[in-house]
Formats: sequence, C-alpha cells, structure tokens
Amino acid sequence: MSERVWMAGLFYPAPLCVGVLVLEQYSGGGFTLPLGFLLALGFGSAVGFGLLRHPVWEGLGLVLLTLAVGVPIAYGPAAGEGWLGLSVGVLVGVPFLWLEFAWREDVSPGVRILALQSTFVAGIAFLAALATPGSPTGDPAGWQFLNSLGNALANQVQGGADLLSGTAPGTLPLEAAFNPVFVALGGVALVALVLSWISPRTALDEPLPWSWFKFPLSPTLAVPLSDGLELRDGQREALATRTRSSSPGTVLSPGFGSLLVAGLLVGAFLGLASVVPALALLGLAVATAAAMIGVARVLSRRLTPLGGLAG
Amino acid sequence: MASSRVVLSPLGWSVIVGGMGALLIGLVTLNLLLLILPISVLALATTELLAFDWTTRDFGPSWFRWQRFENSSQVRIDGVGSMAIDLEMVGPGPIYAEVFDPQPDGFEVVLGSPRLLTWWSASSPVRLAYVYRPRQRGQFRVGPTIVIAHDPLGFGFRTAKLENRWEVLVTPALSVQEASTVVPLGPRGPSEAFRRRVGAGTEFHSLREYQSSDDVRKIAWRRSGLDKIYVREQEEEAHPEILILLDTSRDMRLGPPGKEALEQAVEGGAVLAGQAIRGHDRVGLLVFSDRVSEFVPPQRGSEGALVLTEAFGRIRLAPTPFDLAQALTLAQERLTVPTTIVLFSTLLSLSGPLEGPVGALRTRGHRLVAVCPQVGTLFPPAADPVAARTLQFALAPVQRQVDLGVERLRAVGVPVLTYAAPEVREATLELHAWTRSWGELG
Repeated sequence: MSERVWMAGLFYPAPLCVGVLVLEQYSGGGFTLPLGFLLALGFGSAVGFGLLRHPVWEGLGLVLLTLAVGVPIAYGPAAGEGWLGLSVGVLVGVPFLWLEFAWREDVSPGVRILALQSTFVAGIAFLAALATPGSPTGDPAGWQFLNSLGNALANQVQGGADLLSGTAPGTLPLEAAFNPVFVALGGVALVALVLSWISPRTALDEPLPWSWFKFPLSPTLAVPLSDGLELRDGQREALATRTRSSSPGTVLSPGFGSLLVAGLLVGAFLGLASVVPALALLGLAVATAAAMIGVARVLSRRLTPLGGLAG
Repeated sequence: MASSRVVLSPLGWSVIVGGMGALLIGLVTLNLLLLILPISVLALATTELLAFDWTTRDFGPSWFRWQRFENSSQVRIDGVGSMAIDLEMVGPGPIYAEVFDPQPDGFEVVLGSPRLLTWWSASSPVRLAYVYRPRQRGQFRVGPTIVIAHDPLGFGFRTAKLENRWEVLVTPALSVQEASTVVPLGPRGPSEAFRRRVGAGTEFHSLREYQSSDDVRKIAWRRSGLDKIYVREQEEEAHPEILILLDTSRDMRLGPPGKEALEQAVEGGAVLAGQAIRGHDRVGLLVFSDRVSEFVPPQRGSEGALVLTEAFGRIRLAPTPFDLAQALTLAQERLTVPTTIVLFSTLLSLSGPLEGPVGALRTRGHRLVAVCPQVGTLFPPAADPVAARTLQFALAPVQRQVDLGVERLRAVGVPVLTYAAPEVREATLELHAWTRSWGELG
C-alpha cells in the first residue's frame, strides 16, 4: 500500500466510527441510510485518492449529494422514511468530502488543521445528536435524527450565549458529547497530523538532512572533473575537499524537544481540565495570549544593520 | 551583538493561523477533544519558534569567519572560472544551515555547487567550491554569501549576509584564426603585400600606359615615345595601425539580452583585434558614447592582447546618445600615425555635421570605415507570421533611421560594411582582409 493510503488510514477511523454509531441507532433495518453514507464516503474517497479528478464529475457529484440532503429535508416528514434516511446517510458522510485536506501532504498545515478540526466538529455534533431527544416517536427515523441534531446545535448556541451573558448555561450538548472510541481514534488522527511535520524541513518545505532520512546529496558533479576544464591544482583540491551535506549525530531529530514540551503542556491542560475545568479554560486563555505575544515579539524585533536580507 | 530577526515562513504562518482558527472553533464548542487539537498545534509551533529564537539569538555575520580562495577574477567567455569559500562558525551553533553563494544569471555552474544544506556544528568548517562557465561577457559580482539558519521544523529562519563580494571580469576571446586564410598575398610576400597598394603615395611602384583620365603630371616623359606614353604609378602606404572605435551608446541596446548590437560589436572588435595582433599590427580601442569610456592606445604583441582583452571585458552600455563627430575629433587627437579607424555602431542616430571631422581625419592620413549590423537580423526570427509582421512593423522606422545614417556616412566618403548579426565574425574577417589589401569592400 502506498504512503498516502497509510496516511489516510489514520484519519478515516474517527468519522467512520461516528457514522457506524448513527447507522446503528437510526437505520432501523432500512437500506437508504447506509446507502447515503456509503455514497458520501465513496465519492469523498474517490476524489481524495485521485480516482475522480475531473471538475465536471466532482461538481456533478457535489450537486447530487447536496440535492440528496436538501430536498428531503425541505419536504420534512412528508418526504418519507427512505428519502430522509438517504438524506441523513449523506449528511453523516459529509466529513469525508473534505477529509482529504487533512491527510494530503501537498496541502498547507493550516488547511490540514482546519479540515481535521471541522471533521471532529461534525463528529461531535452527530454524537451530541445521538444523546439529544428529537421529534416524537412515530416520525421517520431520519427526521428524528435531524431534529435531534437541530436541537443539539440550538442548545449549544443558547448555552454559549448564556455563558457570554454571565448566566449559568442550561446544557452544552457539544461540550458534553463524549465517546471514548471516537476520542481515541481522533487522537490517532491528531498524532498523525502533528507527526507529519516533525521531519526536519526548510521554510520552503525542502527536506533537511537527518539520520533517519536518506538525504539526497547536493546537486554536484554535473560534469566529470576532466582536464578539459583547465583548472589549477589548488582549484581541483578545493573542489575535491568541498563539504557535503551532513546530518546531526543525535538519534532524535532536532525539533523533538519542542514536541516533548508541547506534549507536556497538553498533558498539563488535560490534568487541570479534569480537576478544575474553569481554571483550565482560564489557563488556556492566558497561555494562548502569552504565546502569541511572545511570537509577535520575536517576529517584530528590530533589524540590525548587519543582519537580514531587509537590512 | 549584531543579529537578524526570525522570519516566519509560510509554513509557520499556516500552522499558527490554522491553530488559532481551530482554537476558536474549540472555544465555541468547549469540547475537550476540539480544544486539544489546537492546543497541541499551537504549543508545538510557539515552543519551536521561541526555542529557535533563543538558540540563535545572536545569529548574524559575527557568527562566522570566512575566506575566499582559488577564485578566478578574470575568465574568458569560452573558459571556466572557479570559486571557493571556507567558512568557520564561531557562534555557539549547531544549526541547520543553508549556505548559498549567489551567482549572476550569466554564469552556469558546471561542477560543484554554490549551495549547501547541512547540519553545521561549531567545530567543523564548511567549504563551498564550484566551477562555472560564463555565458555572457562583462563585469559580474559574485556574493555576498548568504547563510540561512533554518528552524528544524520549517516554521522560521534567520538570514546573515557575509560581505565577501568578488568581482569577475568575463572577457571575449581574441580571435586567433589563421591570417593566411583571409589575407591575400602579394608579390612581395605576406608581410608587404597588404601594406602597400598603388595610389597617391610618394614611392615609385611601376610604369603603365597612359589613359585619358590620368593626370598629365604623372607622365614619365623620359620613358615615353611617339607611339606610347607611360605614366608613373606610386605606392600608397597602407595603414597597419588599427583603432577600433566602439559605440556604447543607448542605440546599441538593440537586440535580445546578451545578443544586443553592443555584444555583436564587441565580438567583432575582438575578432579584429585578434587578427591584427596575430598579423603583428598595432591595434587600439576607443570606447565612446558621448564621452570616452576607455582608450587603449594602439599596441601589439601578447601584452597588448591582454590589455585589449580586459578592456573588451569591461565594455558596458551607456545611457547616452552617440556623438560620432566628438569621437572622431578625440580619436585624431590621440593618434600619432596614420591609422585605420574601424567604427562599430548601429549608426542609428548620427547627429551633427560629419564632413568636418571626417575631412580632418583624412588630412592627417587616417581612414575611417564603419561596420553596422542589419537591424532585422539582431532579433531571432519570430515563431509565427503574426509575430514576424509585428516585429517587422516595429523595426521599420529603426531600419529607416539606420539607412539614413549609412547614407550620411557614405556621402562623406566613408565605406560602410553592413552585416547580418549572426555573421559578425565573418564580416569582421572580411573587413580585416580589406584593411590590409585595400581592395573593394563588399
């Protein structure tokens, strides 16, 4: 299997897990909900792995999926069990449409972070919908799920507004949504995302030499050192003794220290959040502000005349 | 201590902006998993950046000692040059370093590399060495060497410029083509044949029958009889000294970069100088636009060749118009013996009266001949008919202006040789043969 399949394999399980949980609770023996989910999963994967790269097919697929979600929802319960099941199936599989941006190495890190985060948000929202009561029994299962999802999101917004206005929030469904399997699989995806940057590289994303990576030698010896070049002995010696790329002698890559510190900071936050959640949030706000101020100071330091291209 | 600031790379910006966006989403939901992701990312990025800033806090030229060695300062256009730099890190280090010795576009590295990407600890010196082939004549500057300290994760970098610029003069190659292939031999052998011709000189050459157009003062009365009348023919001394007058005005910019009219003129001048030196003639160079840029008095031999080669290498365009009258006046002031002045110019904008300066040259025994490229041939042929017509349309007024210049020179008795730009070498060889034999100029 290729490297990108391995990479994608680390990101797929979390949204798959949520999809399976929703299917388990709402499919009710019908085939349209799994069909919708598989359609979204299949289309997203086909695009992500480059099997379906033609803009016309991509556009057509997106339009059809949008119609599959939007039209039954517009008709409400009157759309019928089958169509609403298809709609919910596609909706639950929607994260696979952008999941490729989380694992593709040619995408910028910021986009990868946001793609993974939005996949997590969708997963958490679906998990919250599973735990939130929906419409009365008797309605189609798909409609019940959509109602639950709507209620969860509405409650979250209300809770957030309460927090901002200083009153105690009633419920925060997204905050409360928790599934240990989803968290574990999400953690795997997060680690995969972060580890993919850890190999040393330049600002232009060119690999830097290090001991675990077979670094290509400098582009040299384009022409064999022949007598035809009429070089002096000193010039020949300088060429023969020029420095080649070398990697650090340490076992761990430079930059590993930062990873370790980041891991410790996350651990500390988790520890604090489990004991005093409010203090953890306060600490997070303070730490974020301090970090940003520190970075801003580093970047805004005045140039001295001797250094820097802009000098 | 002098240091440069940390520059955040696009990768670094992307991680921080993405992390902040994800944090915002996390704060809206307050879900722990959705907070962990941005915290992880931001903690990693900020820790790495702050650590990099701290470990390289004094990074700058003061971190290094450097020395250039085995560097070529003068390279022939058909040769190769060499550069070598030893760098030693006296700063704390170690760092991921990118060392780069910037090259002019006119150089092509053929061996070694001007760039090195390596892990660099303070104890080990770094040597950069490479060989390049110049593609263009002129004066070039190599360096300053740039050292970039890279943050290992690519989030940021620092840059230091090491002031070690090096000047390289790329000279044209003086032609050494066999003179015998272009010089017609006379009855007195190669050394004399091209120096003398029948003309308005003072030494007796031979007798021939009188023709109605001959001056009666040339009749050799003692040799003439009733049936035949003879006239004396005198030898005219040719001009073994050559002065190459090279126009470097803005009009010489015509043509694509690297193959402008100026470069054609330099190539032609170098060929002419080479041929003259090979034939043991004295040859000089006057580089002129509206003032003298350089003057090399006529000289011969290998030392002369060296001086001329360097002078040809230094020639560059001037942003001023060409003043031929002034150039000729200054040339005649500097020349002590009758000389053939070979003007390389586009003749695009000849201003002012020329009769006076050209007449003054003749009075002192000098001769002037002009060599001018055909404007259309300075540009490569267009790929399609539309482009070809456009180019033709654009060059038409230029060509008319050049034709006017050619006519003006010819009107004052100056021979003008026009050539197709790619054939400047052949045209110059023909011209050189002509200067030696005083035959018809093609």
